[in-house]
Amino acid sequence: MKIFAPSRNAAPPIMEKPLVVMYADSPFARPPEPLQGGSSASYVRGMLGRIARGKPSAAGGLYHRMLQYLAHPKPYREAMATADGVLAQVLPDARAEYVVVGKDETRIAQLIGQLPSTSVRSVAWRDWGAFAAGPARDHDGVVLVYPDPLGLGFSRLERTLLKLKSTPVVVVNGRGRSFLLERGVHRQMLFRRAMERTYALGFVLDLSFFFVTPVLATLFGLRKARALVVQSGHSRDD
Amino acid sequence: MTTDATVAVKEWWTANPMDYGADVLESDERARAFFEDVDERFYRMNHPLHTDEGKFDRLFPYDRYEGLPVLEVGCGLGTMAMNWARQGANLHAVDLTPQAVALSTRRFQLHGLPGQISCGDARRLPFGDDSFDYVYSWGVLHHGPEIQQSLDEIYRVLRPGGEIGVMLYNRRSLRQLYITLLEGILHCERKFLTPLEFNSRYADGATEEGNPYTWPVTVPECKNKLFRRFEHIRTRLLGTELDDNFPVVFPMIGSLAPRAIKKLYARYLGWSIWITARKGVK
Repeated sequence: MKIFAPSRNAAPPIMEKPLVVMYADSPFARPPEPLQGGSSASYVRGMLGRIARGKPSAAGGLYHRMLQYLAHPKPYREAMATADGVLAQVLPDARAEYVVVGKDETRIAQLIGQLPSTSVRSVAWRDWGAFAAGPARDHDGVVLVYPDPLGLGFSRLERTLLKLKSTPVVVVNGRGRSFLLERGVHRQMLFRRAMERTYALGFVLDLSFFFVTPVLATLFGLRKARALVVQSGHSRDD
Repeated sequence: MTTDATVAVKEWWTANPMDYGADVLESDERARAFFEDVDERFYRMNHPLHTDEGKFDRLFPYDRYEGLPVLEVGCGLGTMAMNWARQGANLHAVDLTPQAVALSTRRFQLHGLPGQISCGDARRLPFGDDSFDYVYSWGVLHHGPEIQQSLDEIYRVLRPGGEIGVMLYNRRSLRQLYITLLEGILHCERKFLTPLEFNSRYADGATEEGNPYTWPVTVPECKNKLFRRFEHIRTRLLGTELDDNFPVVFPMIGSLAPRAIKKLYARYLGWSIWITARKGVK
């Protein structure tokens, strides 16, 4: 992975006029709700409820909270400020232009409403193909702004951008990390997003519980037994 | 610690004190409510360490030090210092940030408790040699780069035969494992951050950026290196966080796990190492 911030292991691509792209269909495009009470366990139950298609709206809400709980996304306003800070550091001479892409006009408007007064263009998803093949090519690079660390929901957008082979795509994520999006990195991201969306880590840890607990119990038993032996040795000495 | 690092640590803890969000202490009534709220949360987080007789008395030998000089290094909002003062110790406390000192002083005034609270750096404690019979520090020393220097300083101000109690974060803990898997590996943070940057970023809560320094330690490091000047070194993993963390780490079964299982994990994989030791008599 070619990293540009906070540390740097490769020189960033030279971009004088990058196009900064934000995505209104990210699950975190709306400002995150405060997470009070509950635990990931309840969010997982919500996720399972969603899969069972019982009450999709309530379970969907819980599922979204679980994703938020895991990802700690930034509100898009902060994510954009973070991206601006990283760009100022990595590409100090760049004059960025901003665009918000999305399928739903309302969500695009909501996202733009969160942003500071910087001029931001909006592009509907149906026009994105033409935009990417046309006006986007006037820019010498694309900067994707994720509100979260992995860019949940960005996969389709990334695929369209990676087809523009001559244009470098740089990502600034919600933690202020910046890297070059190449095909290999994109594939890795797809895997990581699938892990996050299904909470596979939680299930792996749950499974590990059944292996780790007996080991710890055995260690504890051995320690107790040793302490008893030492204690009885002391009593004999006395 | 370099001067820059010290300034960064001080600035960060001044901007982000462990005050859980409250910032106004104008009237006695509000201040009292604020401290009660802070204490209630702190006590709840550490409930396995209390008995019916007192707070944290599974850790602290209050009765042995009644009337004797006791020092807290890094008092924060002064909850523990207050308990020591209530138990009759001649309490002294230092903290790096003026804000913590002001808040703790306000707490002592409010409760009419005796105690000397001052600004001080753990690496240069403003006290003479052999001044205290007991010195303790709760979750503070791992936030400074020169932890060894701080412990040497604690050794200096401790009387021969005096005891210490120090809590440090544990790098070999369930919490650390979870953070490493989620943030370090799944969210790729280990590709971007050095181990020190990673621990500083995630050791104290997942959402707050910018903590300049946190380095959890291990039990062998404590026994073989950090506390080697002391005698009778004993370590214990506390794991008081596991009630909250268990359902997070084990999402489907964590909330169903019986207390005995959580205690087992606490004993081997708890987040807090409680180290007690004694200064040898010359």
